[in-house]
Amino acid sequence: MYEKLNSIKSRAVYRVQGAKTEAVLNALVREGIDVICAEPGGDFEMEVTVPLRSGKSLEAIAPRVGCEAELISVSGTKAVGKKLVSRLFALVLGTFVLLVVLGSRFFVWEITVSGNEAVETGEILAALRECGVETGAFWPNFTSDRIRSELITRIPELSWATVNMYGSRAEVLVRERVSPPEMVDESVFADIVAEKDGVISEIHTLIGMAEVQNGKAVSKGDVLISGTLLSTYAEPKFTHAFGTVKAFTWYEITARMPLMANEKTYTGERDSRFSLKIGGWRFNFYGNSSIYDVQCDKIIDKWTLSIDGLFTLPVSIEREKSVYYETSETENISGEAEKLLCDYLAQRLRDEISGGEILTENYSLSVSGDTISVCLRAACLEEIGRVVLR
Amino acid sequence: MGKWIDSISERFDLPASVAAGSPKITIHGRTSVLIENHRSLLVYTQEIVSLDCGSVTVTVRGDELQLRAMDKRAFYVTGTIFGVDTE
Repeated sequence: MYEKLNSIKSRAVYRVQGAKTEAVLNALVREGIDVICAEPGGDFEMEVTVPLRSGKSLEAIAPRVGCEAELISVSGTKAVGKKLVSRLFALVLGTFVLLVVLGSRFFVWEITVSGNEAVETGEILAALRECGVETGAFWPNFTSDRIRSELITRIPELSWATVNMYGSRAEVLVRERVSPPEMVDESVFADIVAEKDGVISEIHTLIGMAEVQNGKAVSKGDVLISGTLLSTYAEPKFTHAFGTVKAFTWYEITARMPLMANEKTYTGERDSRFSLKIGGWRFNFYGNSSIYDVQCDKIIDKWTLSIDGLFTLPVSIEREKSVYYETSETENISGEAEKLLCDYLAQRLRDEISGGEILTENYSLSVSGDTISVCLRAACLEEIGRVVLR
Repeated sequence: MGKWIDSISERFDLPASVAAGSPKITIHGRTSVLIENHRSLLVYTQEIVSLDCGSVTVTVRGDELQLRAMDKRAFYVTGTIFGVDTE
């Protein structure tokens, strides 16, 4: 019924151009198509209105009589209905997208952890997952106090935690527990002995008896400050020795490396693979096969559908770019090799003296066969005392 | 065929409407003309509309003439009608 009503009321207006536009009208009525209206526009031109359902017939008839027909407009309930449907569809689609965007704000799609140094981020994320803080979780259910207490219970190394929400991004801030300093039990008898060979520079005794004086050479293991207090008039008293002993120390450290080294040469060949990630699902737009013996650098770029601070959708595209290269054995440039070795030796010396002072340092280079050697000779001033319990 | 029917209806003094095929022209004041039993449109401009009605050619003269409806049988034109000629 509605179809009939629509077909009666709906109409299409065509611009017909040709030498004999009247012929189109005659052809239309011969085909049984009613002409609703016709207006001569100008020379060899006419606007013809026909029922909407007959529009296609007009388009087919016009060329047969040497004319061209062009649709100008459609009107009537059917056309309006089509417009309304298209607008309604656009409205529904827009509303749906808006709801998805707004709704996505209430779910966690990204978690960042900061403030941790000793505790691994993966460990914190695993603990958060057990607390209910994971990708896709409904964050209005979160309570910072509950998450903090559960997280600290699961990871005792943490002393404090909080979860801040920025759109769909959960920023987890943690503070690690500061270990209390080791308490010295003064009731335990102990001496301070030399950790390294050296010549005493300064000795400050707080408790105990100094066994060495400034300028004396000591070997590793020699007692520097004794915890035994001797008395002429009483029995020896045993105590926990305290004090600092600084000494001049000398180091000779050698490092070697081959003169030949592998060098990358990029072939110019590149390859990109894309994958789509929706929530927890990943769709790869490539096969599963890989060639493992090919040498290449892999660079992964990730684009997430989000506006920072406003919303984040769980949709991202990843591009894995492979840049292929070949390796060839080339001779190390002597200067570069020497610099590498010197840097390495300097770092190793700093680690050895741990807070001490480097007084002099001297590097000597030698090349033997296909090996380059650098020898570091250094004089340092450092703390050499170490507490040893009896 | 049309001429033969016309002569029969004239001889027997029958009403014109009975004579099938002959054009029937209805004029409403100076604003519209309804022409029935036409065969095809010959000329259509804003000043002249000419129709082939078999034995007769009907021409409507006027100003701003506009075809308001047309089907196999009838033709309805509006505008300022100056006159209707038959040939």
